[in-house]
Amino acid sequence: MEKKVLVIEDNTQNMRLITYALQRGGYRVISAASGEEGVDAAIRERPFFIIMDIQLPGMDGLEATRRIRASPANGDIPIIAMTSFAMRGDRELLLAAGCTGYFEKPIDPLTIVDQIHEIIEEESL
Amino acid sequence: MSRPQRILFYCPAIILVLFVCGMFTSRAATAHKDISPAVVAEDGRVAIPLTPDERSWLTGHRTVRVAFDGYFPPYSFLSDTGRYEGLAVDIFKILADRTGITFVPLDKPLWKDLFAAAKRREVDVVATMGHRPEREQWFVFTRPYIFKSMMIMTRKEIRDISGPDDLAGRRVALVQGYQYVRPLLAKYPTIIPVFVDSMLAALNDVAIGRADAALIFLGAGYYLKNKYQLANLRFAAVYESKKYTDSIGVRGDWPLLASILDKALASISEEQKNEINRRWLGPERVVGISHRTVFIFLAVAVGIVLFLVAGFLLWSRTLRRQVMRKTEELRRELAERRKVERILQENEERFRTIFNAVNDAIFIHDAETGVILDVNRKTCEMFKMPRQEILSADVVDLSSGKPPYTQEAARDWMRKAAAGELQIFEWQSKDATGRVFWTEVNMRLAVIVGSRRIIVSAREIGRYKQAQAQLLRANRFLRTINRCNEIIANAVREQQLLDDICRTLITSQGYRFSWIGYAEKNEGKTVRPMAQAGFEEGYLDTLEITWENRDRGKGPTGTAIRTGKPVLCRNIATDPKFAPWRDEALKRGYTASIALPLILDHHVFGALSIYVGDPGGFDDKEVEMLVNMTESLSFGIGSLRTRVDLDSVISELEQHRLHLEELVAERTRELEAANFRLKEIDRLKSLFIASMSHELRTPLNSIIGFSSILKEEWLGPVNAEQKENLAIILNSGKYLLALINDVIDITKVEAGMMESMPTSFVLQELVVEARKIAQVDIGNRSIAITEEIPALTMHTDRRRLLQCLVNLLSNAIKFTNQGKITIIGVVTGEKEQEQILEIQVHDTGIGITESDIATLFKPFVRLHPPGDATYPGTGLGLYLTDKIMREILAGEVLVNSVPGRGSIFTLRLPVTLPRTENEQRTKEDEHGKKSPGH
Repeated sequence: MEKKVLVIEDNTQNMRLITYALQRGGYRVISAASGEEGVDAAIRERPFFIIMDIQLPGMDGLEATRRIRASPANGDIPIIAMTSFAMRGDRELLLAAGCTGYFEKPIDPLTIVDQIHEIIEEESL
Repeated sequence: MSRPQRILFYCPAIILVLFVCGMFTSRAATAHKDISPAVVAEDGRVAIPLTPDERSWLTGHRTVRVAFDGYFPPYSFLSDTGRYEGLAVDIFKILADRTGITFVPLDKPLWKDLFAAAKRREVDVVATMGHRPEREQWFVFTRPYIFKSMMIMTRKEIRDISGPDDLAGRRVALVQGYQYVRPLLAKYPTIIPVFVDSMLAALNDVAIGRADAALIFLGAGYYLKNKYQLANLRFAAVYESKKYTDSIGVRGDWPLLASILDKALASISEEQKNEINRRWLGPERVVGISHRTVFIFLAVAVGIVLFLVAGFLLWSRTLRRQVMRKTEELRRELAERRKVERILQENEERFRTIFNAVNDAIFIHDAETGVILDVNRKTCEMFKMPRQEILSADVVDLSSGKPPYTQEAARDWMRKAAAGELQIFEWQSKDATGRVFWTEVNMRLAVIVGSRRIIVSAREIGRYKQAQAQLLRANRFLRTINRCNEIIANAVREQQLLDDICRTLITSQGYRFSWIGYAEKNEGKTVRPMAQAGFEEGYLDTLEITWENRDRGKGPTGTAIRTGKPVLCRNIATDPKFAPWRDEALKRGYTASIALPLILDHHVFGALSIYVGDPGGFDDKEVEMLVNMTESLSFGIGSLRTRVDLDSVISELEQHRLHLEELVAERTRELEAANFRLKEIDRLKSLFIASMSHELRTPLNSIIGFSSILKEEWLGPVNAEQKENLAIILNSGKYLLALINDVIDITKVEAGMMESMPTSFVLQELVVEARKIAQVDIGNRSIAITEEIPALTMHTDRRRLLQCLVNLLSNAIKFTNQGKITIIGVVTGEKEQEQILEIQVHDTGIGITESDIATLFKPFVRLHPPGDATYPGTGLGLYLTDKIMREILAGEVLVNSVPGRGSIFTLRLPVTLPRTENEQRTKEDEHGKKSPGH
């Protein structure tokens, strides 16, 4: 059975590309174009993991992550952040908000699934 | 009564006194026998009949302490050697001898001290003590062994103390505690007592006037007066004769000792006592009161007789002396008169000698009439006239008579002198031959033998006067030259200078006329007058002055200009050279002239001509100094002309300077504008880069991402050609992304905007990560990558170190076709904070030549042309790596290569990024937090 994963990303091109990669990796992708939408979907669908763009219009990725983590049912869902750039204290900021790990854009569709698996496995160790 | 008479009166009185004194002395000697004390005398060794009690007491008390009064002479007193001596001491020697007691003297010489000590029984025996009832409570007394008379002693000049009654109201020195004191004061209550501690002190007080009289024991007074040579004291009277006795006072609890001593005293024979008395008291001699009355009576009677005799003698002697005195006076007067005459004669001779010897002419005038009364020899010599002639001459005959040396003036001087004022003035005198000469005249009023005279002395000062005139002139000339030099030094304009010099020569020196002419270089070679001053009256207009070598050019000015030498004309009236201008010159009172050439750079350009009006003309010194002054003037004119040139140059320079300043200001403005534009451009660049980082990369990422999934046939099969094309799109996209990323990083580093973010990490993991990223580029080549990395935790910017290492690995992979790439980590340094890590990337690639190494780290340097598929790259990799290593990681990139064999690139960096640098960097970042990526 295909595992549900949630991708929260406002950039449609990136969403499309990452969806191709995840589907190729055997996942069913639920997409959300905004933070609010993503939070609802996460609580409703209880995906296997969530890919979260940090730079979102309106509610940003960090806030969305915090809200998802605040829901008792979703406390342990891996949330992998996507960042456009590395900024000072990024890593700490992301982890503090509740992210499991992160990767940087641009994504390489050929390697992204491996990267995600690495992050989740690291976490589950 | 005259003085001799008084002496005559006293003489017999003195004789009488001496006589009476002698008589009473013999009487006093007989009276001495009365004081012989009653003693029991035994022959030879004296045995004292003692009771058994007394004997046994003696055996128990071999030593007895005795106190002697140290100031009770001659009975007991401290000698000069500090030992007790005196009558009582001698008696105690006998007592010691007879009783066998050793008497130890107490060291308290003052009566009041020793008396108090005795009462306290600090001493056993007091050698001399008046036996008084009140003392019996402390003491037991022996029989008296000293019998004293009391007498009054006073100073010699106090003549009215002759008995105790005379002491009333007087200050009397009394020894405190002595037994006579109380009865005396009771008897004469008006006595003012002066209490002292000893008899010597009492006498001393009288001697120095602190007291008028002292009451003192006779023996003591005698002894002390002689011993201390109190010569101004005299015995006035005996107060009480032998009324006072002294016994030995023995402490009250020792009555046995008292009786022993009493017996011992009794055993002293009369003879022994007399001997001791004689030794200490001498014969007792005192004038009694009754005898004194008789003496005065007799003295007065004899005095009257002698007075009468003396009066007669004096009277006759006075008469005789008066006659003698008169005779003597007459004789003396006669001698005096002769002496005065002789002195007068001598004085006259002396005066005449001096009068004639003086080197000044001296006249003695009658103050009222002015008539010459006397003259000295010098006057005759000076005026070359015999004395009689001068005496009959008038002042005017002896003066030049030229105003102001006239008779009226001379009278005036005389009048002032007659009024008592000293007059000193210079006078033009004239002698018999008519020679006029200068004299300094000194006139003063003198009263000679009651007559008012005027003494006139005249001294010839001709030569002096001349020297003085010369000096004055020389001084004035120096001043003139000085002023000229000042004018030259301060000159600003040439014409002004010429005018000032001409004027100064006239006003300051008194020349008649001066002018300056410049030589014209015209056909006639005329001299153009430039400046003039003084008495001219058209002189220059009347003559044609030229410096041409012809008749009219041979005048002083023309010659001076032509020859360049000063031309002096000492006498215009006679000098033939001056002939053409003589009349005009003489008409204007010029007597001599000098023409001085003005020379500049060996070229004569004019002349200064000066004319004098007095016949002396120019002297040599004057000429010399004028020549010097003219040289200065030439120089001054020259420097003024140079200054004019200089001034124009300076003003030009000033204009240049102003222009330069303008230029500088303009350039500054331009630069400021340029700077502003550059800043704007810089801002735009930053903005551009910031945009690039996001807006450029996002579409690129899409290109790369979608082309890669197409190529991988995720969305269906593509044919070979399509795949090839997709590969081109993909690679171009990747190249462009890499290029953009590198440019952004370089920009950040160069702008100091790349921040280091040190974190702690494990080196091995970083190397593996770098390998994984880089080895994607290996493709299907046969390249093995191995690592020899020590276990090491680092603390530095992981991301940047990774970037650098990936760059090196990419390069190594790029230039290695086959073989192996080895990554070796080496840590050096012991201390943790100072550890250095070297990450070497060895490859077996093509290697780099030495010349290429030099340009290796420059931007956009590619060893192969861009677009070469074999060696892709931006050409920024090593440049950026080098920059990051140095700027961010505090390290460096080293390269070592052998062409054909391979290369070793080394990253050398501290294991721990130095904190300071980190912090500093952080600070800088916070300052300019406009990171383009954000």
